[in-house]
Amino acid sequence: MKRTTLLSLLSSVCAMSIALAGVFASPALAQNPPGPEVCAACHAAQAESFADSVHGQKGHPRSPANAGGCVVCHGDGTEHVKAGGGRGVGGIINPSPRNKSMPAEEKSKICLSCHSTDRHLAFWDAGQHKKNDVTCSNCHNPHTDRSLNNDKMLRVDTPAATPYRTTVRQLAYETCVACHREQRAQILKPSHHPIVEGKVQCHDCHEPHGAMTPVMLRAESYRDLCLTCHTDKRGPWIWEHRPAAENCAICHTPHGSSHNRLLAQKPPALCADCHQGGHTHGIYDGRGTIPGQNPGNIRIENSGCINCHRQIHGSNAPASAFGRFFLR
Amino acid sequence: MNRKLIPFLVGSLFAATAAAAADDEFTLSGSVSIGARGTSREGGTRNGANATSATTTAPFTGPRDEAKLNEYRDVSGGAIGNIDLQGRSSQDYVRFFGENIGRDDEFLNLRGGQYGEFKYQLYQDKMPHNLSWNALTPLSGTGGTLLTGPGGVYPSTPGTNAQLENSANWKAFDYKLQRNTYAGNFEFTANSPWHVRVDYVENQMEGVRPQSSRLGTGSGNGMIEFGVPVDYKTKTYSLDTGYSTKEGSWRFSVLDSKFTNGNPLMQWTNFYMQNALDTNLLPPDNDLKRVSFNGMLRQLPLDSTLAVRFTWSKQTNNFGVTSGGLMPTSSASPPPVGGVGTLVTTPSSGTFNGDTETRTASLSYTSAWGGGVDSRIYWNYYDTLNNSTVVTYAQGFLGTGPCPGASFASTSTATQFCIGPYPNSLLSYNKQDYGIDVGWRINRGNKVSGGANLLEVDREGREDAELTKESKFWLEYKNSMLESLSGRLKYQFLRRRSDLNPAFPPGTSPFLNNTGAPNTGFTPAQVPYYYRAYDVSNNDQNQIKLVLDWTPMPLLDTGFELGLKKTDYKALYYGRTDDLRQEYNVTVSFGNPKQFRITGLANYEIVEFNQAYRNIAAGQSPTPGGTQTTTTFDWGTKNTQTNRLFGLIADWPVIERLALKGSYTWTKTGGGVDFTSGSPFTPAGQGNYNGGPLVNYVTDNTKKQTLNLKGDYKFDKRWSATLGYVHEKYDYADDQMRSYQSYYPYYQNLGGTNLSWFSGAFANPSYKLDVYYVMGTYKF
Repeated sequence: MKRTTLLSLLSSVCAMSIALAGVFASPALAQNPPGPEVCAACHAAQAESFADSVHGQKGHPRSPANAGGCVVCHGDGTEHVKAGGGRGVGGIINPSPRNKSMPAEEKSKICLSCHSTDRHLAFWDAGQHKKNDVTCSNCHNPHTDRSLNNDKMLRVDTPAATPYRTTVRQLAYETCVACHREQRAQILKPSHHPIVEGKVQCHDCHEPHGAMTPVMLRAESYRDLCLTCHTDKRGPWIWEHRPAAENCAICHTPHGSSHNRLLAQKPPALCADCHQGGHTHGIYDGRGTIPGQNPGNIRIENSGCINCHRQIHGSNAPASAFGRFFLR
Repeated sequence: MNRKLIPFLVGSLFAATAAAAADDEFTLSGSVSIGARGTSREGGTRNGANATSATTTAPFTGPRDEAKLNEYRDVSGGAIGNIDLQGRSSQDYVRFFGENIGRDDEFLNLRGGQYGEFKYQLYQDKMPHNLSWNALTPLSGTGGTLLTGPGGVYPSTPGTNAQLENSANWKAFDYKLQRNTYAGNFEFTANSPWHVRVDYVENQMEGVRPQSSRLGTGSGNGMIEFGVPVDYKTKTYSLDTGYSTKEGSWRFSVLDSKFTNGNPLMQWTNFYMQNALDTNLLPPDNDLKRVSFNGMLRQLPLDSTLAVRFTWSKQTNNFGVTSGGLMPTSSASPPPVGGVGTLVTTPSSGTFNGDTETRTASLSYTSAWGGGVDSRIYWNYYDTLNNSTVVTYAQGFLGTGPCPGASFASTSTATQFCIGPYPNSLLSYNKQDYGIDVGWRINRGNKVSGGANLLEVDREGREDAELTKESKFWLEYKNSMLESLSGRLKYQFLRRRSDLNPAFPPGTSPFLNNTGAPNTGFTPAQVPYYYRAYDVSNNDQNQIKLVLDWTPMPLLDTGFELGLKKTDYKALYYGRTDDLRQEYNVTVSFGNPKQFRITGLANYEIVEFNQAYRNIAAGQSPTPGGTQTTTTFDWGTKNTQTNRLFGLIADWPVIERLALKGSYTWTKTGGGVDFTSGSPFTPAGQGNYNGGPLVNYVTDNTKKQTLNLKGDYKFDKRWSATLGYVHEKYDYADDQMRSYQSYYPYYQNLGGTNLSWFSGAFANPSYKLDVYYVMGTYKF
């Protein structure tokens, strides 16, 4: 009850301030849009975060602080002030993702009016996010708390289920999974890249600001991307495993898997999709299947085919060491 | 490196701060948090027995494995904390963030610069990658490049070598890696459209990772698992420059990335080969060079944007080609004393010059036609040419020569063992995809989009599919007419077809009879018409995705997502025949995070796929169906994988000073393999041939529960405290790992000459973890 009363009181004071500001408006205010000091009367938290952010730095030659402050993004607030404020009142521009009355492209235009010269946005038009009506404000909130390494002003209000984390940093994936629900489940699977642990970020592999590759990869192909970190798999090899030389995603699924090593399936079933022949009759040659049966089958136990074919990404062993079969 | 980097980072911070502080407006704010963490950890055990398959003896409980609970994090107890500094004047800024200092997952990040003029960054990120702890091996010297065995006879008769057979005599070691990144960059823009940026990234990885090798000359001779030393270093330098305006931009960058491995090879005692030293070659050093150019032009007619990208890269390495491998001198198994030697297959080149060159080009042209219509046409070109050395290994033999023929894989008799000749085959390929996307925003609340894409892959060096073509068509409808409800429905059809070159290289018939020899009753050219590798096989794929977001009342948000993907593989009888993937996601959130909010998450995913195969006796038809015998019969598998997730997350700012957060997640994965067999062997249901039963089994059945509770209390504007508790429990069951968990031990005896030695890697990563932590924070 006390909380409600206090809020009502604050609202009244705010409304009165706006009304008085309108009555006693100076001629200058009548001609120029209201500045940040006027906005701060009602939007104190936003004004404070603006002043604290790069947008609020007058030392930055291209910052909104040098171009009128709040009006750069939110438009001329004169009518908004005259009307006593309120969400969307007086034509005030609100590019929040919750504002569905404003088309996505219009919201992005506000940011792009300054950031279109950003080289990271060169492929924004070619990317999937623009095509799918994702706007800058879906991921970034210029009024957010930038502490704890949140330099990119990512939205921090997305609830994400996580295991225990030893980092307190704001992690980018929490912003991404607000829309990418499929990946939200995948990154929690037993085998995963250390995304929820904060050691790999979604943007290490994907370029959220647009790319010309199908899933906005940061490299020209899956293989090129994977080999950025997994440099020991680059080769070139004397004996190549052809799928590994063409596309890592044939065997691995990058966001998460039930199986070790982010494998798309569990060997030997994975290998059997391409290798029907060999080993007399394939992997199930009559030695049975799982351990605990007599006889067991070493082609199925443990890592399956990988038990012996460990150098599966490529081998440099000679023919006499069966390098061709990735044994050494 | 770390010892140098921390003082350097701190020194840089204060230097930058002092420089910036010269400006009167400089302010420094931030926070320092210090606390303590207590943990209770319990890893899963690998239970087993030192035994043969026929008799179980001396059951034992193996050591615990806590690797999974430490997989990518350092949860050990002790002091914890972080520091967050933000300094700023009207023109300069500097920021430093550090956490987990002194731990395996330490993170330090220093950033700064002058607005619009330049910026810099130095950072360090350490990551443990714990794979499996307390593994066991009969070999000594894990962590080095020479692993030696205890000696003695190969126990083809159980009970003849206690050192090898009894894991109580083995050595424990951890499979664990530590990956540390040290990096820095500097970017200069001088408040102009130009930029120049230089980057340096150094990745170091050290530790022990799993390795294994076949012991003899065939899979029936068993294998051994052991630890291989990792001492990798990758140094990457890059330079990036460009010019960017609202009308367009271009960018040019060069990169050089060098990988070095401190251990080019390792040796280990091969018990099967009379305890001779065997050799495994480890990843060779390599060098990647890359040049790229990006260009973009905006404000073209029809509000169009043209974007182009070209890259050229080259991966190279260089090393001496080895020629000898450990082999027996005859078909005797195991080889007798004096029956093992080094078989040399002389390579055509003593040096391998690895050289893979890749050229890519991309073009995209987007336009807004007016009337809500927009389009994008695009083309991507990717060409990889493998110019590496072609190495042909000559025939080689041990024992009494010469080899009986000019072309064969390997053969052995009572007096000799022969191999070769073997040429390597290098893969080059060219990919092109082009397509068009068109969207029509009918009105503010309705949008229809569609597109078509054609992909062509032309390969050289892959005989089973030299040309693959994929056609993809999609259609999507979006509706956001209602303020409270929006939705998206997408349908996609993909059709893949590959051309086949049935001219397999000599001696590589993919169909073998029940003696392991090529099925001479039928030509190899017949086979591809019945079997095709999964990644190139013809298929038709239908995919549907539905996304709904509904806010039925204030403070209540719901989301639903459905994904279906069905693939039918065409024109083949063997291999994967079809697969179906279904995924459902639900999110329900109620409340206001500034007061109280509770969010529920749920996911269910199931993947099912079927495989078909055939056992064939000599001279029998490779085609499926027909009369099923105990030696020629069809068999298949039905594979299932499931994933379930349920989560609850609550945010509750109780009062202005106190905020509580809690979450509970439950995840479960499951799956397995079910067999079918046409064999009339009795008893029914058995796969036959060697008499072993085809028993259905489960794979990677896991369950994980996490409870996460946290409370933040603010004493005043500067001081606050955090108290937290976490409980995690992870359960694992996998029939493929039953070697360790029930019947078989680490040491396994499948018969007289096919002994295998497993180390316990990944056998039982189950764990329980409780974490208690308290942290005090001072803000300034």
